[in-house]
Amino acid sequence: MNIATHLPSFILGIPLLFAFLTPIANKFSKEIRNAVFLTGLLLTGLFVGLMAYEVYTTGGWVYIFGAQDPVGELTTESLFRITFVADGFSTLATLTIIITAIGAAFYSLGYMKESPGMGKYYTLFLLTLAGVNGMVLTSDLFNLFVWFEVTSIASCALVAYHNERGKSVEAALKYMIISVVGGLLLLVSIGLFYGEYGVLNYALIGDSVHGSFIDLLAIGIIMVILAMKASSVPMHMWAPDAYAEAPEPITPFIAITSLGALFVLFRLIFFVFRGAVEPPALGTILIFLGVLSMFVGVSMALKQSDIKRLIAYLSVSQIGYMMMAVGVGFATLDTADYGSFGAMAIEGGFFHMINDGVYKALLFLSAAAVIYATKIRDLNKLGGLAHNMPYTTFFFIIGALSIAGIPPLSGFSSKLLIYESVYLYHPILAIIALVVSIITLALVAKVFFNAFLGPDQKMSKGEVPSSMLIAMGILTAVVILFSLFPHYVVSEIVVPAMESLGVGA
Amino acid sequence: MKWKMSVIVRTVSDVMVVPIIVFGIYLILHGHLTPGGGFQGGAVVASATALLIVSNGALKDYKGDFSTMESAGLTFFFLLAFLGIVMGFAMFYNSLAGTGGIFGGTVMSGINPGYINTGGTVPLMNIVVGMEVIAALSLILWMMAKNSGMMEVEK
Repeated sequence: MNIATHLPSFILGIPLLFAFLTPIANKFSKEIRNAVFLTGLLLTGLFVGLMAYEVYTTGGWVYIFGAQDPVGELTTESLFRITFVADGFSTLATLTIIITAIGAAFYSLGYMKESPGMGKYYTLFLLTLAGVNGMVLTSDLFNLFVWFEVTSIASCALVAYHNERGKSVEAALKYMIISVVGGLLLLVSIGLFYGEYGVLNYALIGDSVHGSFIDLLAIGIIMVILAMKASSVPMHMWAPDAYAEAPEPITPFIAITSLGALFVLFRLIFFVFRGAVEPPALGTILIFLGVLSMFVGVSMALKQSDIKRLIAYLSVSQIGYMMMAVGVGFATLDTADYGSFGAMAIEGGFFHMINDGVYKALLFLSAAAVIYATKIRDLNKLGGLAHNMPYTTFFFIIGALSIAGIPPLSGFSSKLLIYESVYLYHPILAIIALVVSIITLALVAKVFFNAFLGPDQKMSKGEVPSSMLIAMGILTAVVILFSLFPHYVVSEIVVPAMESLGVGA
Repeated sequence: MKWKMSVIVRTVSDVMVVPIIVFGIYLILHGHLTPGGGFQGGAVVASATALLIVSNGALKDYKGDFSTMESAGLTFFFLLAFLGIVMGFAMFYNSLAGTGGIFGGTVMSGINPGYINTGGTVPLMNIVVGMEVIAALSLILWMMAKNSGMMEVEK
């Protein structure tokens, strides 16, 4: 038996194992703890890379936990075992997660050097990583609930890290209440599916769903909960608070849990719900949520003067692009339109997800560098940072132009795919998307102008520490790589992801 | 001021702690045979901690010990999970069941009182989960007692 078949379990198990080794290492010294943490993270990264290689060379497989043969057939005896899928879609999701995680981890090493309680911080970091990885890899509904809860609790504790600040605790409490209520409702809908079909596996439920009232009820609840976790309007109220109040280095990683929920939502839609719903109906709901998120997100960002809160609202509006694009793709399923533009919309949506994960992390981290150097978050008080912080300025420009969709950066490639395809579905969608993109550009230009340009006001003593620059450098390199070879990313990462969901072009 | 209850309460709780801990350990060890298991047994043992804290008050600073014990328990749990892969099966596979070693006895068929030396990795996982739960719940109780001013921590 090939050891490579165990890769999905490593991607889950290694972060969990190292999460609990970190507090033990913390007893000895800071350096050993950091080494253990980084080992766990980089090992996970290595295994994600190896799984990507295996998936692209040999195709996907299903991993059955606790079975004698991990890649055997699902029999009646092993029907209730936990299964993980390693396919193109899992690879897309885990790659997005691990790139952001590595950026956030290196950044934390510099940023949080003097902070107390870092043993627990790194434990929670690895637990969140395991939770999101489990969420996107699993193909078992009950297991999805478990990882949903793990992610919620761990990331919630991270949001409350600055528990001496009242606002952080308030944001964490809000996030926790919404997540826990959401998790319980998710459990209710899983119970509905289980009561009706007696199975929990995605594929088996997908084979039997037929659109009964119970099906539709469960699908509705699951969609609302996952859209809530993905911070889509109108369930977005927790997100700006949580993003703005979380410790700065971890913010992109909290945002990636939202993206993880979106990955799960898309997998469920194509894998499980497809047989139970009319594609145009569910697609229209997704488009509606997407347009709402785009527009409300960006218009709420207009009035923010807190740099992190502004980027948090921009991130809400970016989620809208993906939901709208995939909604258009789903609405055209099984029609002639799918071949002409539906597949392109899904392509653009999935490409935007991996792009968004990376450039949003870059934006959050360069905003964190501003806060680190000046201790000021109010845009009206900042100014002239470009004189002292040239690298941070460069990284911010790359992230900002990418989120605004300016050619030739990666955000442009994915947004162009979205504009072109949704225009053919309905022109108004493309117009809204373009307008939102223009407002986004105006907003990042405002941040850039306020924080970096202008006369030198001696606000910062100089550039941020090198580990933080390395973290931003890694993410910038990835953004530039995606910008230079967008066609390669689409054909090698995005198209296999679509094929694994059964919606290849 | 030191928190301390009357001598009657303290004596009774000191005596009661022994059967409580024994019963908790019994629940943990028989998790694969009878109702109970690592979590439930651990919670029972942790209730002994609660009893001691409430009756006797000031205890030493056990925070570090409890947190190490908790992390160690969970680390062992995932090492046991990886044991399945090391033995050539899937993760979490019960690779010790029926092999004749520790907890590796063959399960008897028919009506029987239960044989404790069976179950493979399941009882081992119960033990490490029990360890984790004892430590975690005791830690929570200790922190609550400390922060509510019930006790002064002697360094």
